[in-house]
Amino acid sequence: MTRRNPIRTLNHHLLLLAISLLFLLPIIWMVSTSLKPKNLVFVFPPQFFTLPFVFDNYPDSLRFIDFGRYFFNTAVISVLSVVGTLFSCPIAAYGFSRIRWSLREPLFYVCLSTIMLPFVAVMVPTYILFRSFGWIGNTNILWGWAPLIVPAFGGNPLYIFLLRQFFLSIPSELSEAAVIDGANEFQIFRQIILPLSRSALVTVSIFTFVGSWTDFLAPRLFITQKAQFTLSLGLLDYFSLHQTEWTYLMAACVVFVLPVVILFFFAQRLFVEGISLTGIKG
Amino acid sequence: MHSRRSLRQNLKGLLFVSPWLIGFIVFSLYPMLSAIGLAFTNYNILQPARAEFTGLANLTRLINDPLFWKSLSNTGFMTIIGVPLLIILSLLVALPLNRDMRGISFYRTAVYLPALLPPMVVVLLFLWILNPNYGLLKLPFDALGVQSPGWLADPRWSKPAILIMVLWNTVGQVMVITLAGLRDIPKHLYEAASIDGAGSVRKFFDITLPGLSPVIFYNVLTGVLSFVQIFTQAFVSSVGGSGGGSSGSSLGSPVNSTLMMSLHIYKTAFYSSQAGYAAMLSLVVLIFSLGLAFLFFRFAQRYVYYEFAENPA
Repeated sequence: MTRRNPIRTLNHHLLLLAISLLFLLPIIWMVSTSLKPKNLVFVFPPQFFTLPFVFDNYPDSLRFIDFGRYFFNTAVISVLSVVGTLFSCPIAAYGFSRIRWSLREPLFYVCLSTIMLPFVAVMVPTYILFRSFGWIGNTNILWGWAPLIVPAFGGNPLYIFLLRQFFLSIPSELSEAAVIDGANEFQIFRQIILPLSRSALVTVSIFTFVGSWTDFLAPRLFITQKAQFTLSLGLLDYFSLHQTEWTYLMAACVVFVLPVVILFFFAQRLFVEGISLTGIKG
Repeated sequence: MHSRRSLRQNLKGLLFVSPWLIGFIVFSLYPMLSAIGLAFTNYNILQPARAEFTGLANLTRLINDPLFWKSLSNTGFMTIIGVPLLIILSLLVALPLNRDMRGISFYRTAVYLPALLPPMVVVLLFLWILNPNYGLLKLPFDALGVQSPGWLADPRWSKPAILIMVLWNTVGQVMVITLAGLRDIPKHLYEAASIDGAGSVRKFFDITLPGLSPVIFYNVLTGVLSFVQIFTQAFVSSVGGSGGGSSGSSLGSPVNSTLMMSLHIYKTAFYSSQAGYAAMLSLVVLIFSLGLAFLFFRFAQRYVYYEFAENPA
């Protein structure tokens, strides 16, 4: 590690290139299929890129399913989930980190242990509960979406944990000074802690957005009206009808993935820091 | 005096965590308790009013349900094979990525990119890649001159096929966590070992692995949690294999080889409408997750809490 010789560096590059290719190849294949003329899809051995690219696959594919509507639905649900998370998680994390109270530790451990609660184990009673609220099959779009959005307002234990760790790292002198200035607890939270935690809040927002954007099980369980479908549901619907339309399917997949990838490239640093933070350390 | 102050502090704390507390009670605690209650009834999704207490009938049924044992072994297979593979692969990838060199961020991004894709996209993409006649993964088999497996159409290969897509989709995430763990291992330990004449294998087992153990432990727990819940990939592959249909009869095909616990619960509750029995199946997952939660709890006590208290991020 101390001295680098150029041949070893080259070997290392080749190794990393091979690994990267292994991970990228399926994505390249997805894009390549989406740009192929239909008659060249079932050619074997496959060609990665056949010129000219058929960009028309994209508008055609998006017309085939109600893509615009599903895209819009998914976006609204994801944004409202972010709003819910930002409402519930920071304030709970504050209560778990910067206020001293005797019930804090026991309750925090309850919160921690629910990180390990599999949704699959409670999906049936949760369905029954949401149905008793009148949320399942509700033709009013906001009620129909409530099962995907309202839980975010009840907080996500992993994000609470993440924010709590962040809040703990802010020096307590800042709060003490504010108390002397006559600030109450909520003012300290709003005016001191939140502005200092912008990067952690953005990280949590991104995770919530991506989680909501890519989810399948919860929409599949709770959304029954086609007009309320998310992209995952819409794609499955299309797939069960037209299984061999790979060019259209892959084009739709590319557009589905695009917002998340763009988000990633804008906030790469926060992504990586946030993920490492979930694994204990920052 | 003192107790009044502590009451006020507790009220204040409760007020701050109340969104979480309400969410916990409504969306976690109640469903958990409700699952326990439902498991001993014949609750039918379509006729909820007729639900009756049936004692241990669902438990007897569970023990005699070959599909339960099948789904348990399928989920067990995915978890027991999948989690070690996930840990080893992410470590194998993270080690060469833990180096400061030109272009390293490109490689890291490339490995992480698949982790951004929605499971729905991953499964559709792999249905195409694993297509036994025209799929990309037929190429290496052709090159070796052997017959490509039928993957999702073949009960012997359907689970490995799902494993491939899940791993491709999740290794990136675990790699990032592992990489952060690697960077936290103090460099001077390696330097000292070099002076003592330790080789790279020795360094790996004596420094890297012990230094990573909290990270690996965390990854194992979250890995188990996600593999136990595999749903989307199995659901879509079996729907795709049979041309869709809303009867649910194809779920878990071929020959129930992809019938995971999650799928069995889903099918029982929403296609056969037997939510009572589905709740009994859920209890198995719930009990298992209690074990996980306990381990996580111990883990948090040992590493997270103290380390952060003295060494904030």
